[in-house]
Amino acid sequence: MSLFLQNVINGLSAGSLYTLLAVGIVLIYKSSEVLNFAHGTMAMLATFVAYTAVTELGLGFAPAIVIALVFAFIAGAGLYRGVLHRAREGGEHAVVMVTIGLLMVLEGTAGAIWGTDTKEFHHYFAKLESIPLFGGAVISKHDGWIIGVAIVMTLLLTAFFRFTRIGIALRAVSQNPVAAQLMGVRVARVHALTWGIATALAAIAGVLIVPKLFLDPSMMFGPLLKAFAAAVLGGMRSVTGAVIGGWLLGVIETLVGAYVSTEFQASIAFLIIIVVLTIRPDGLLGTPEVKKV
Amino acid sequence: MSTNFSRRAMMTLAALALTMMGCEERKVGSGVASTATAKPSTSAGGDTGVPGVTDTTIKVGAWAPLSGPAAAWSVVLKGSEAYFKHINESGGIHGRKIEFIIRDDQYNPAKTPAVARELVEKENVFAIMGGIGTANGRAVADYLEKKNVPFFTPASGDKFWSEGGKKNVYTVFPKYESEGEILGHYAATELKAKKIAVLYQNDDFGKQGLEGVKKGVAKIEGAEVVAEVSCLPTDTDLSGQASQIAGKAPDVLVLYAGIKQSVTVVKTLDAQKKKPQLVSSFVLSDPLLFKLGGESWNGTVTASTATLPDADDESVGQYRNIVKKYGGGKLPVGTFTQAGFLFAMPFVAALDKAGKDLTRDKFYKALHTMKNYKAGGPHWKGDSFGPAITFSPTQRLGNNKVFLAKANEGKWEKVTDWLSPGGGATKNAAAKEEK
Repeated sequence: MSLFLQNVINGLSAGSLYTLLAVGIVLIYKSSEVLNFAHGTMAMLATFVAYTAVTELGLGFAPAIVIALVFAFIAGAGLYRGVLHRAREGGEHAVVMVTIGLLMVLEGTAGAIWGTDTKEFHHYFAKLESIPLFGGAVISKHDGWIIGVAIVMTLLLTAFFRFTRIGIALRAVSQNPVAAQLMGVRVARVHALTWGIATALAAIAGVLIVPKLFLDPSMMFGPLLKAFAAAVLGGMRSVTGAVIGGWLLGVIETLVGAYVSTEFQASIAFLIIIVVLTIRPDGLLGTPEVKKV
Repeated sequence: MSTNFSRRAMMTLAALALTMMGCEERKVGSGVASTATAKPSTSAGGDTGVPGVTDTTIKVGAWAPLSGPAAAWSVVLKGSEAYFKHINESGGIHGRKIEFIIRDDQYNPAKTPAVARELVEKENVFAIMGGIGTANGRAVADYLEKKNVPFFTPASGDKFWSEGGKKNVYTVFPKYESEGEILGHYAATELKAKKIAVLYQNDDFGKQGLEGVKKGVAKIEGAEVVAEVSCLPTDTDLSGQASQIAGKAPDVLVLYAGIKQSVTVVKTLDAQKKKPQLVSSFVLSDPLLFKLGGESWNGTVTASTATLPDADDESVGQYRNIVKKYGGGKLPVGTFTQAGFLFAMPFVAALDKAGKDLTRDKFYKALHTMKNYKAGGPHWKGDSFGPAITFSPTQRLGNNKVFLAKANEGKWEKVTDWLSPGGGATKNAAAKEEK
């Protein structure tokens, strides 16, 4: 029983990474209808920025995180205004190609700047000591931070959308851009803001997880695929769905690895998606989208 | 009419995954990685008629994961590269400089054939030295044999290289199976383990290591392998693996997996206070593991193939100087770069022995003259820092010995003499010899 509980906790920790990335993917998709395959790459870049601030500039961990977040926000918003805002005119397929292209170009750029070798970025959150929980299970401080931050960020984001003016504008734009524009909302600016927030979330995910994945330009590729899976699982347009999708995926993956087969663990995410989309094409929490002919 | 965004997202995702896993080029600017000489040779002028050999140069190729999840292993060939630079700066071999071309295959065996074809047919290399990865080498073994391109020391301990009957392959890399047998035997005897778990990469590298461990453990009464847990070099979530191992509460965990995967599993176990004594293959013996594994790596027993990198020893001293001088300030001193030297040194020695009129046949014949060869070869004072090497037309595995070392506060300390498989794991006597 304690082993089962342990697996669930480990799965929640793995799932929290998917959740933090998936929420950003959903935010970006909801507001600007862009499937951002470069989302993980942006997380990687921000993590490198934090790493450089600590190792090269000799800054403390807290200022390094602030710098990484500011960088991520500006880079995310800039990426939208500079590239995706225009590429959207080329239609959905052009947008997908552009974000996949960005993934490769940015990864190559990171390799050219920082090198492709594996680096270690051990920081404040990455403590191995464990805290005993009920039922004989334990949680490492690092996993505690990861799960805790994921929960807090989700709550903050929900509050932001519900209670702030910008948050309401964001929701309005995602529901009906034309009407929002007519009501005086500056749609392009709101889009850029969403990209900035989503990318900053990704930066948090990157910095949190880097002691486990280690730092190199391709560190986020695997987690990004899983995060996309989580986002699709949750319905692609629902933040709550992405959160649940991420945690569900992490836990199922771990349980399959522990009790069924480790060989199958990597592919389970995609099997779940195929099954869910066959039975519920709009994901667990998605609502069917209706377009009038 | 309903537009289904989820489904479209999923299809794109699947397409992307296929692209990434398949053989499409993924990176911008990851083509030519590096060459050891400043100016590339032209095939015109001074051409000897032998592929890759001119009056002034010998072209040698290799593939390595210069990027991607296994990139840490590419440091091995960066070591070879530094050594070749030293040879070139010291006058070369019979007046020829070595031009070493490393291409990126990202540890993806689907990409290796294209890389090998490019090296052989476009770059026209004389030989391949040290291509990294078991599956990667296997993917091009037939091709290289057909083209009669010497393939010296695939960076892999697959028994295929010594037993596969490939006439162009010679290696100094001990077999994973033999190494595993030594490690399993040591765990069950010296470490007195009753329950042994193995974390293995699900390919020939990991599986042969696992087979070896089982063989070594089977000989000892009361000891058994209680868990065989697999992982892939692309895995990032390894909590399932950690859970399977923790569930069996083993005394010893033997590691035959990727660097990241091994470290992640070990750290997860450590956080749960369930970390057993660790025993690792020599592919996990670099000081990089101390950096990535931190405290969790203390006390680990590893196999090793060379006098330890920080030893007070003249031969290792030369190695350290060369790494410092030609490593561009970034190349680490450690067992990975040491391995790069140990692959390249007998290779260069054979090139030297083959004489001024170098051909592939003469190169093979020169290898066959190496009997219990300990020398460091051209431009090297005294012996090599690796084991003695013996080749013959029927013996393609030049060395099959390892010794064991134990991690103590970020340093490896030798705990056994050179060991051979098949009950060779005996007393831990020779700790003094090294110091």
